[in-house]
Amino acid sequence: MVEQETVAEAGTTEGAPAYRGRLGPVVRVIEYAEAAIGALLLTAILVMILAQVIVRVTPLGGWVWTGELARFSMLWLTFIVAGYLLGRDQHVSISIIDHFLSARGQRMVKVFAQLVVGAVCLGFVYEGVGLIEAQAGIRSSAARIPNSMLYLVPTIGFALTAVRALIGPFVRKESSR
Amino acid sequence: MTLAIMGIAIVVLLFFRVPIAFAILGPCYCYLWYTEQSLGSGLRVAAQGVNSWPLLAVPLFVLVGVSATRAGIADRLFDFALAMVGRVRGSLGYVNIGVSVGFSWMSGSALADAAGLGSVEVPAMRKRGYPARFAVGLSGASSAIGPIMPPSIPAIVYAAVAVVSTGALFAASVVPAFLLAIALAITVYIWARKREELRTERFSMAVLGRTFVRASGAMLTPVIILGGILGGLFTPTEAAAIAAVYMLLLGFIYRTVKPRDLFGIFRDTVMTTASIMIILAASTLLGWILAREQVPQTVADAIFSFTDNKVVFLLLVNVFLLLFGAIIEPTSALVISVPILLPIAMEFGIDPIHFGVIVILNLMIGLLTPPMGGVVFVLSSVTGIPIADVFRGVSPFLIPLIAVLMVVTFVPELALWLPSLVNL
Repeated sequence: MVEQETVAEAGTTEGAPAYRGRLGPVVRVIEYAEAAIGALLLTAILVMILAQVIVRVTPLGGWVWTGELARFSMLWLTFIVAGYLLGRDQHVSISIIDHFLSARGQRMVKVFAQLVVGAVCLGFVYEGVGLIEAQAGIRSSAARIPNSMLYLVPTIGFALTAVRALIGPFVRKESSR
Repeated sequence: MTLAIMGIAIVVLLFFRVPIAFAILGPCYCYLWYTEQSLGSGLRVAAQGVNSWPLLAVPLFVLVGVSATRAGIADRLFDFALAMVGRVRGSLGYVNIGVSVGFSWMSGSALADAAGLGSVEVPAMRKRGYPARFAVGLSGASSAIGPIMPPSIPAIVYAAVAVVSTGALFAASVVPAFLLAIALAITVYIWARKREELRTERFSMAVLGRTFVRASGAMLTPVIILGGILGGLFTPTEAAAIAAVYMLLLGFIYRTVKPRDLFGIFRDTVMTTASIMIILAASTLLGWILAREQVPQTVADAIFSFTDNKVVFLLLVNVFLLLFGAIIEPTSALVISVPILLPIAMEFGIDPIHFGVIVILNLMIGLLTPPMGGVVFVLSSVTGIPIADVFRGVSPFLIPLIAVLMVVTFVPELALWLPSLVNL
């Protein structure tokens, strides 16, 4: 079975995790920032694509950088909200094992899954740092955006996801879901 | 050997509830480390998977779907369809299919359709005396129309992976989507023909006119999307952007969307998009590793040693994809299977656009079958009907869906007629 919140529920405060102690407000701010950056990047994609249509039907000339910037925005959007999705169990996962386990067993499996996600993300943070260093000085062909910037946002996304995954099992209360 | 261990690790991690994207990325990372690939190659390949112009249509079409849901389009389409066929026996069954067809022009995701429409259709059908299993089964089956009719998220992903025209694939999907609707309507007719009590609404020209006006704005969306693409005015990505703006404007005009709702609409769109795209990124890395290990060639050799018959190959592909789609999420299934199967299909002389329609149909049927059945679980969640009942409700409708799949598989003209008509 594939588990994912429905479109209507995604991103709302319903089902948002609660955190013990003083960490709650900090995580809330991070979540809000992630969602806001994601919404801004989506707006950028929409504006860039519309701009491309407009310049094609007007004598403004070709803005090749709009397509490139829109593509980069989608790449950044994908990774920057990975932690937000993890914090709210909104990544697509297969929850068939829940049917065979007690409540305690289910909690242990969730902790295991989170620790695996944390380890994977740390690996990709390491990859990202290497890639950023390797790509220093190279710029994209149209928008002239440094390639290091291209990979910086996914690396930050993996880092935020790793933090969420690794602290989650210890500071997160059971969510309402 | 390394590849086998990687495959087993992915399956084990998936079973232990690790999110699909990370269950794929983890073993892939270990493979890169074990085979001493250069640092950063994993992230670079995964990022390339989503850094694609055709895929930009995904967030924009998701935005169209989320905006349509918030704008209350489903209710308007439902009222119009009911006014049109309410007098017919089993009318709500046809309404269910009609609304799915109408909404499918605004949404390309079966899960979103099941969530958005299921919550409207199933209670309405149960209230008018339809059995819960029939209502939820039909809603599940009709939600498969959404990702087949353009705009279709799986079609955009297939087009990007197979490097074919998204517009051509959109055009090729129109006839199969209508065939699905007709096959489901025939099933409803057979089921309802002896149920006189299911003839509910009186026909009223005034109500029909009023509901038509209320739904007419939404019914213009296919004109913008498919008309724009087939007419050569926009690329699919541009059509998606224009349709998104149009749908938001409709919401404002209907007063169902207010400026303060925009952040929520955009946030929901981002989260839905990111949950798809991160799987796509991970699957791209897995596909890269499979290609590096020459898995497509090995599979091709195995298939050609087994058969050189096109019909047998297509049957094998259908069985494989139905099973694969039943156990794995469609985006991953698509990104992993297409680079392996498409070159073999082309060796057999199968058109890549036709093959795309076959792949998408199979994987969407997989959303309705155990053990994964994403649509089934969404419907159970939004209607409160137990999962086992939803599966039982959906199962009779698999017959018309598989019948359409077979017809589309073996009559390629059904898919290829429209693209050739508009020179795509």
